[in-house]
Amino acid sequence: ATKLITGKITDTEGLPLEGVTVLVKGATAKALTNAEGVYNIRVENSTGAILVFSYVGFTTKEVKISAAASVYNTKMETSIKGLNDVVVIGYGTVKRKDLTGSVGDVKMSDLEKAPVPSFEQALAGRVAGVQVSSFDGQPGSPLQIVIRGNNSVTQSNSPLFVIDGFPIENPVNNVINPEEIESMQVLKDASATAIYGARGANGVILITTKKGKIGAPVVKYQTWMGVSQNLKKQEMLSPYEFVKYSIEQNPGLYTPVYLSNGRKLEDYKNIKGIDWQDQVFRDAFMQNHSLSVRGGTDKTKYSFSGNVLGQDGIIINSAFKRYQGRISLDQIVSDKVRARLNVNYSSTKTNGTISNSTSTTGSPSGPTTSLMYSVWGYRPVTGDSTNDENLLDLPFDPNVDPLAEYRINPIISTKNEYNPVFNNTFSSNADIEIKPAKYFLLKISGGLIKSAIRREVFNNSNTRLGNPKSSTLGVNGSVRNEEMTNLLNENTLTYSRRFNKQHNLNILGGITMQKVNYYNYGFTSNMVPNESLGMSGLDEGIMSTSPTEKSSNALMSFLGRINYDYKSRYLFTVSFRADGSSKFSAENRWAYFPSGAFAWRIIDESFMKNIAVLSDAKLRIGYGLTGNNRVTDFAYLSSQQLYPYSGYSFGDSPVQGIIPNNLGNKDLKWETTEQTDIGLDLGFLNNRITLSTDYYKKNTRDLLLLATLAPTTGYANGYRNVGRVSNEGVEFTLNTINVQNKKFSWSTNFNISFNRNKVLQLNEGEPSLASRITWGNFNNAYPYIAIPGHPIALFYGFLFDGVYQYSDFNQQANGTYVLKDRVPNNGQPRTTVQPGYIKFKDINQDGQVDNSDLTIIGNPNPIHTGGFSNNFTYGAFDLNVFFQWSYGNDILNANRIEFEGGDVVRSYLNMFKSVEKRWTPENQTNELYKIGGQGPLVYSSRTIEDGSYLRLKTVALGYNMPSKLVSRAHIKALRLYASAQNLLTWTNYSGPDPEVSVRPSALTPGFDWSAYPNTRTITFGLDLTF
Amino acid sequence: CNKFLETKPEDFVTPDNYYNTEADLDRALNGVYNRLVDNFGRMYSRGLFSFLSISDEFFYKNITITNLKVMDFDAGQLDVGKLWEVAYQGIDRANILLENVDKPKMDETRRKAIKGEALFLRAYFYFVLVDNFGGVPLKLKSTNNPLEKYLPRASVADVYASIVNDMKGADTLVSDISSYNYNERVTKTAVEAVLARVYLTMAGEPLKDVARYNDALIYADKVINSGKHNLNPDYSRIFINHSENKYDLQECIWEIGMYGNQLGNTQLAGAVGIENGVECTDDKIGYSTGPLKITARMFNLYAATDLRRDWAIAPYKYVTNTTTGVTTKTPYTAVQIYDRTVGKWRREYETVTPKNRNYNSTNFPVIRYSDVLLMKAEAETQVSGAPTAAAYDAVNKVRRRGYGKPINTPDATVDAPAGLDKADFLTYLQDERARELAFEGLRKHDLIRWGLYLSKMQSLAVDISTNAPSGFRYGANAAKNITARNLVFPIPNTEITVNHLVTQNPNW
Repeated sequence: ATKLITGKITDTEGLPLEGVTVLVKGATAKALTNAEGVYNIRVENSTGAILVFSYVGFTTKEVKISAAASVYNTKMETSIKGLNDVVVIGYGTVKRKDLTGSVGDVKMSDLEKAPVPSFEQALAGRVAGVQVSSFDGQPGSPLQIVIRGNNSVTQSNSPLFVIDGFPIENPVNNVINPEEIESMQVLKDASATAIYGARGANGVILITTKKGKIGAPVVKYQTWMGVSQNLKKQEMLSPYEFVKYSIEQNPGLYTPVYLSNGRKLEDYKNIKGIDWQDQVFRDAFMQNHSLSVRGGTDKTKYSFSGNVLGQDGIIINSAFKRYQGRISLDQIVSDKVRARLNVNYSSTKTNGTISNSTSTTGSPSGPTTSLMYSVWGYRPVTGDSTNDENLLDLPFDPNVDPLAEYRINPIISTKNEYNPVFNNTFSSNADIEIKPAKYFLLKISGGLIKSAIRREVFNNSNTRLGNPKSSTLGVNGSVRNEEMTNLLNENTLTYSRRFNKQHNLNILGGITMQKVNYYNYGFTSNMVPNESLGMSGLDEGIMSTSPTEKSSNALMSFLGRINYDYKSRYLFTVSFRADGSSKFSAENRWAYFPSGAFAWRIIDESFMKNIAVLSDAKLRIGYGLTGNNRVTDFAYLSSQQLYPYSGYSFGDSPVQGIIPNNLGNKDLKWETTEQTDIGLDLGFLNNRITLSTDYYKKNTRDLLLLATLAPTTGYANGYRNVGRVSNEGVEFTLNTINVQNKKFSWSTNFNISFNRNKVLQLNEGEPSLASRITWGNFNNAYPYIAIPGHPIALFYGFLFDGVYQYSDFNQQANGTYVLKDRVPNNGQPRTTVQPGYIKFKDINQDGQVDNSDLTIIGNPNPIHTGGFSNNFTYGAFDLNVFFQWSYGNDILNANRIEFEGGDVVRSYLNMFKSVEKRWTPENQTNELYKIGGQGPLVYSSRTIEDGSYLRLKTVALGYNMPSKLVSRAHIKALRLYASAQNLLTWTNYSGPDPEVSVRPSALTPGFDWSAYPNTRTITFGLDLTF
Repeated sequence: CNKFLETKPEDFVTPDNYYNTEADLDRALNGVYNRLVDNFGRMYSRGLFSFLSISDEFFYKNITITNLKVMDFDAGQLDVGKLWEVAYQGIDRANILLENVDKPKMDETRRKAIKGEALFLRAYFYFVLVDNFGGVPLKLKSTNNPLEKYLPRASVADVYASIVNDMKGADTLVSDISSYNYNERVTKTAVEAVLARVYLTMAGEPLKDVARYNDALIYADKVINSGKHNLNPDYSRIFINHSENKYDLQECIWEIGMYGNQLGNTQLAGAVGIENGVECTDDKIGYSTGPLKITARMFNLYAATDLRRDWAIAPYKYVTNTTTGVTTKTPYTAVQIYDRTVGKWRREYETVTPKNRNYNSTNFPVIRYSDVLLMKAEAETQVSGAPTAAAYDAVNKVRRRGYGKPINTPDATVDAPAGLDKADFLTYLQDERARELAFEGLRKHDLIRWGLYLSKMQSLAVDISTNAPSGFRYGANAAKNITARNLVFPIPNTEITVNHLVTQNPNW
């Protein structure tokens, strides 16, 4: 029977919504609400029919019509994160408006618009205070995530990840399918993280995966395909410029090579030459398929999902693959008992040449082992055009001495390198919730993560590290197996009660236990005789075991938290955690981490009623202590071990020797971070504009510092609780709904964070801590320094002062040039210095450049970072435009050291285009030294560059097919989209990409050497819901 | 619940639960010996006879500036720092062993030998340190905690006093060389021979404790009179033995043991014959870039008939034809002096295959019997005030062997000129030591104790700059860079930046 249904639609605050579309599912009837939010609609066969309310910016809502009623009023919730949204916090949830701590939300809806293989890749710029940086663009490589600055100098600063309640310190995050993530929260301040005690100081990222929802099964098939391209090629010398450069470098050697048979230099202008970058880079394809079935009854909810991902890297023969499946079940057993299970299995394979690696074993060593060295350096022409093509097919440049360096045809080497990493990770988490009495909830959970990682390497005779010409190890390979078992048991009891409708009390208490076992073993084999057998031929070579490592650690904790609020207006949180860890001796095992926070919802005060423009105002103040336990499992014990190199040889037969390898510190204890956070959350115009501001100050003391020891102790370093670091900063997050009407909406999210990191004190008496970088070169120079009063890492070296000009010299009678007395040298003997040589600033003006002229030459820490995201919808179309930036950070571009003249002059090596700016007697520039004038092996400000960038990170355009159309094909929803990642980058950085840090650590950020290039990716996708 | 947190290390032992058996002590002692071979080449596997021992014997090929190898460096220099580190690691290992040596129930003779060897090695590491750095912190207890207080430098005299004390202690404890069929272990005559060297050093610069000449003589005589040692009649055979992994317990009193080719499960190989090898790019014969080019001064010290010249200095190099791949032994012409390289250890004799380009198993002789004879001659002359017959006899034995003559038969054509006065005889001895012990890491040490290092290097700089072919004049750079401060290395920055009690050597 047809029935007239009416009702009023309001938002959660009770204000009427105009223009809400009301539909009857599966029928043609349609209505809109009027200015009072009232609708009228005729419904045929009304009993059991479903009304669908939809409105831009709000979550679509469905209401089932019963036989009796004819009035259906409903409240619609804004799809923009509202104050009543539930936010996941440690060991519980809380409504956003009741939050007392600083918790950042990752908008998963934004992340989903431009799909990536691993969620980490989409995280940069999304949340204020969360800095995400990629090492480089290697497929499957992890990213570095730092929340509110580095606390620890020598130890890890990565946050604790809690994935569906399972805390993991060093997860391999690419085993997670990003499409399965329901929500992601970032706990930033001590009040939020102290519940994770000894592991909370670096911040906590909570990830919750999607679960089944009550309703008919929803089958979803999501797929996307994409193409990645190299973001930017490095501009090299053209054949003409290269030949000119070569002849200038060594006319005796290169003139016969390049200018014989009547060839003239000018002729090279018409030769294209080999572009090695084009040969090694490719447009790489990637595809992803996900299938999920989710649904449930009021008793049982279920979710099955799986994913197949294949990503090719833009360097030939590199790729990332993932096969993954997850099952989650939620069963209400009785009124008082509920059980849940969540199981995930992932199998990933990462392979491909590690572009930025350098071999430090054997000689020749040095920068010549890195992949990009060969890619950039291989010459474009041989001097004999009939031979140029051959160069592509020959494993070595016939003119380059393979004993002097590792330069090998990068195409052949890359194709032949075999170094896959297989990761099989199984994780399961089960819990049972019991309501033993009114107001009480007991939750007992158990979890297991088991991961097995196998690393295989086979370097055959056509690879950089296995060819017999430059490798002393011959054809070689290795297998390494790592097994990790992570066991968890958590038991919490919650008491939750409301008194007199005004007092809310929530008390949580718990005991948790976690144990991690680690085991790794393997072997290497050198001089493998039958390379055609590949890995299975390793047993025929000269075998050598790799050290077997076995270790374990255990953590036991007692935790408690009290949340109390009065009328949701005055909110108090007190939390406490006691952690006992096996990583410390019995005396220092236990540590206590208290925190307290207060929030005042000023908006609820009567005096605020008159300020109509304000819709929300909340002040948060929090303080607490958190810890960091990132230290090796048995750092407190002295250890002695046997190694292949620790013995001795008597009578030409080797005997084993046991040697000390770690100097234990029985007094070792936790590193403690004390954090104060003051936050203000404001909402304007009915929360169309929300602004969240946080100021924080973190003081980290008793650093777990791998302190340098005086070598007279017999040890290079040892763990000490020494040193202090502070981080201070402000964060702003602004969300606005700029336009919202029936057809069109535009909302933006803008966040910006400023962090000042400062070392207050280092190892007792140590005035500074200098750090080296292994890239095969400049091994005696330290490009980084940590000095109390400054950030943990600063660039350190000489100040580039241009190039020596003729005017700096006195010309002798015999034509030679001798440096004028008042002109300082550049670290080389005065007699060596010639016009056109590199010049450094003589800071102390003592007439010579030496180590006392070393100074700070750059700062790798950004002044601010942030993101700016815009969402537009127009009818069925939606568009997301996301910018991300980093401002004020410097990068050490070591590529320029090697390819703007080189650390030494190497033969037949191509150079960057910028070498055109070099000093010559005809072109007396002040920018770049002449060939051979690179001076001593030191770092200088010449290759420090501004690494600031603004990046159009994502543009995603989506279209939701009208349900009328797709329902004919029994499809509930169909969304088509196209997205682009890293479409545009504005930067002054001359290297391939400013988002680079190939040796990432708190002490050594922002170093660029032979990085795997970052990519621009275009994807097309479709989401099908049945 | 604390039981849950009691994880036990499964991957290593702690010092508390080690040192329970004789085998435990043996392995710990091997770990002390281990520091004589630094796998990165700063001890006797490479550095102590090459870049850490730059004198007028050789210069580094094609290295002209900014390098330790041309003596252009500062207190931040990595290899100098590592030498310091490696020596102190050895000292700490010896200290731990000495503190635990009485723990296990075991055969007392073995225990005494282990204790004696550890004592000697600790003293020897201090000898390396005091010789290269001057007075150093004297640490005779093991490090137990990263929080321990650091030590200031002890005086040169105090360090030597400790060395002598330990070595004398070792002399009464270690076994006789006849107990072994190899010479890598510290034995009684090895302790005594090294003690003679220690005393001779103490008698010279910088300590100038001349009374120690007598002690040097006593200990040299102990070795000579032990009857355990003699000269190998064939000079070249001594070094071929090293390459062939053979032993000559008569001549070579104490050697540093290197093993294998670094490719398999044991990584104890060195670079004797590679860092100071004959130029050759053929892996089958044995690769070496021939890094150490000899000086004309060194070449000219020898008479043409002295067989030691063309052994210590290779008269040829190996040249591989790039098209045919055939390698041929190519002699140097008579005018090619500076082209020549050190040739004492020749990879063509090596037996371990495959030959690694950077590592081999060739042992290094720390002290040979001919050295003891020359020390005796020197000490006896100093003590007696004039060359005695015994002194002449000692030096002549060494010379006759060098010329391939019967050792005990006087031969006017090769014997030292008779009737020299003390000064002339000592000068003669200095040259004889250079000839006999060339490239064995002793020349710099000897020149310093004779007070001649600076003057010899200065005259070398002039000599090369004026007389060498123009392409080799950079060979003077190392000598040019040597000033008075180079009598010792700087105290490494790695120590000074952390240990503020340590003072820097003058002018570093």
